Amino acid sequence: MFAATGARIPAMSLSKERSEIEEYEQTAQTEFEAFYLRTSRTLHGYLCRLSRDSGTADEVLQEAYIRMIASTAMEEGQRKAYLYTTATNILRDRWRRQKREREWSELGVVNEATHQNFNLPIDMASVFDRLSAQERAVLWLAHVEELSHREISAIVGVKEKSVRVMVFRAREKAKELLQSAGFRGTHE
Amino acid sequence: MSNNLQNDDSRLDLLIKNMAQDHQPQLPSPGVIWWRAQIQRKLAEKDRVERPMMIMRAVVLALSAALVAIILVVNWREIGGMAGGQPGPFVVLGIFAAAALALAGSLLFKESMGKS
Repeated sequence: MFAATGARIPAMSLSKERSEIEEYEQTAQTEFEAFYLRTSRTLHGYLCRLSRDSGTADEVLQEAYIRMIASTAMEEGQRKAYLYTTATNILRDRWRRQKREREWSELGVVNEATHQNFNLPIDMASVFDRLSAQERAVLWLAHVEELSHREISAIVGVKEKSVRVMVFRAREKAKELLQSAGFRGTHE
Repeated sequence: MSNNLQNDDSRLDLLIKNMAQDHQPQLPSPGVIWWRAQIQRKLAEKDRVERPMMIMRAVVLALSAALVAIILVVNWREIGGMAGGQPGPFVVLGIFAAAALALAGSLLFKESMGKS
């Protein structure tokens, strides 16, 4: 629900109609707030990892939720996919504007200099930073959101078969980075 | 071998999930986002309501410009005489009308640019 636009209310007295609209909007707002509290933290994490900038993540997150509120009502299951697709597209548009589209399309952008510096303390976040934007996106969506390849393909805008390969390669690269740093895991 | 790979995958999965769990950002309250969405919706509605009026204004402006042009063409002889003698009343009226139209047109343009 929570698209508080275009509510069709049957003809009634004006005050009753108004209270119906207010009640509808109240329900929509409550539903939105519950959905926001369930999803915003992980979406922000996704955007932080993808953009490498929490300020950008804040802005894109708000814009994505605002667009979702303005969109037509949709099923619970579709909302999350819509949200991630919208957020990814907003971020991609920003990159395009900043002429950083290259970063998105290039798969192998690991900085060899940092890659070779094994003295640096390494954790999962820094491994993510050494992956390309596309790899970061698919890893997050596959492992944190546990989305299917089909859902991921809709979000990142590539074919389902390509997603399978991309996830595999991103996993391998992440494991390689962890192993080459002699990482045993901080959360074990 | 495959068991090792499976272990690696599940360990990686755990590490990524833990990283996501550790992310505890300061986020705006949902009420703020809802409020911003409502403001944007109201602005969009206002634009939608005002669009026919904007179109009508542009049409009226175009018609008025055409009328002024007709007046100028009909009184072309008088305009030609402007250089030598006194300008006729229609010419003065035409100049005023053209100035008023130019002003109205610029205001309309400015308003539509401000909205977009």
